[in-house]
Amino acid sequence: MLRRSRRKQKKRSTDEVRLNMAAMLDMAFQLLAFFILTFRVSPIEAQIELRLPDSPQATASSSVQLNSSPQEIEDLNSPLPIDLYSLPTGEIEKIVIGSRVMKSEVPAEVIQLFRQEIQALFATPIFDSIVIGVGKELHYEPLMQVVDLCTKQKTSDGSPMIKISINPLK
Amino acid sequence: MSSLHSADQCEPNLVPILDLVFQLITFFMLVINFKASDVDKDLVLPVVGAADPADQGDQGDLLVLNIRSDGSVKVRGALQPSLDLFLRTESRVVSALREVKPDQPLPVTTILRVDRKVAFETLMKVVDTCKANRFSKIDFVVVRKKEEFPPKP
Repeated sequence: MLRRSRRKQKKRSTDEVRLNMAAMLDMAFQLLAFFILTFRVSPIEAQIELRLPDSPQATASSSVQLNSSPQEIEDLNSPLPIDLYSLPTGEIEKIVIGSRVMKSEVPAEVIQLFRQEIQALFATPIFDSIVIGVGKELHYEPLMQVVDLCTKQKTSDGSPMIKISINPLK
Repeated sequence: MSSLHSADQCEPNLVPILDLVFQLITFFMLVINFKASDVDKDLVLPVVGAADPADQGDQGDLLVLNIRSDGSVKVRGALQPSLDLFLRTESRVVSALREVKPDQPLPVTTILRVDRKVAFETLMKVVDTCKANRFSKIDFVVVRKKEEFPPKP
């Protein structure tokens, strides 16, 4: 009886189906290598909405209005005029707010001066909108930095500054 | 003798490593960006702080325009010699597909990915061309500073 049982067990062990995992593992590693090699960490991107003057889709949440000519300035309530002057290389040369001029030989310092100035100006908010005049050669990055600083300010009623108009300098 | 040899054979258990590899593959498959052809990776976008995170939903159709530092425009992986011609064609196609009247703006969000060194004048020309072809809803793409993100609740 015991002998028969052993024989049966031996037969079962030889019949066992075994999968060859090595081939599957090879394929899996190849797929993994492909995904690792083609993987590229992309930077975190964000969006700034733009409102065109004639757009019926414009909403109150839109933040920036872009006008192609200086004449198209919307009738904004108590706007703060900011003029951005550029060097021929496209870097920022100076920023003018009314009679105040922020100028430095280092472009990053101009933005820094502007940051201090606008924070001081909006410590007691009296402006509801901002009109930015831009030199035609100015690069996109300093323009966006200025727009970014403007959108961080508050209007006279305490709401975020969303009325920003960008126009070419006269 | 043969029986003894087979009994001594050492076979590693490959199942856990296969599990691990499949998990890694799943991760990379999930994070891979299939829209890469729309996006020109050579562009250097400006870095600012207060922009809203890119909204993936409820934007309708998207048209991504990549404006390079030399002023050339790349759309869907191809340089466009005439942006006006391209947008005019797109405008006709969208109008026909979405049944938009000629005086109405198109239900398309145009996403401008602009290199940080593009001059304002060039940017204005692109925006004017978009506007002339009824692409009125325009978003600018910037790179957001990491520290500017609000903390997770």
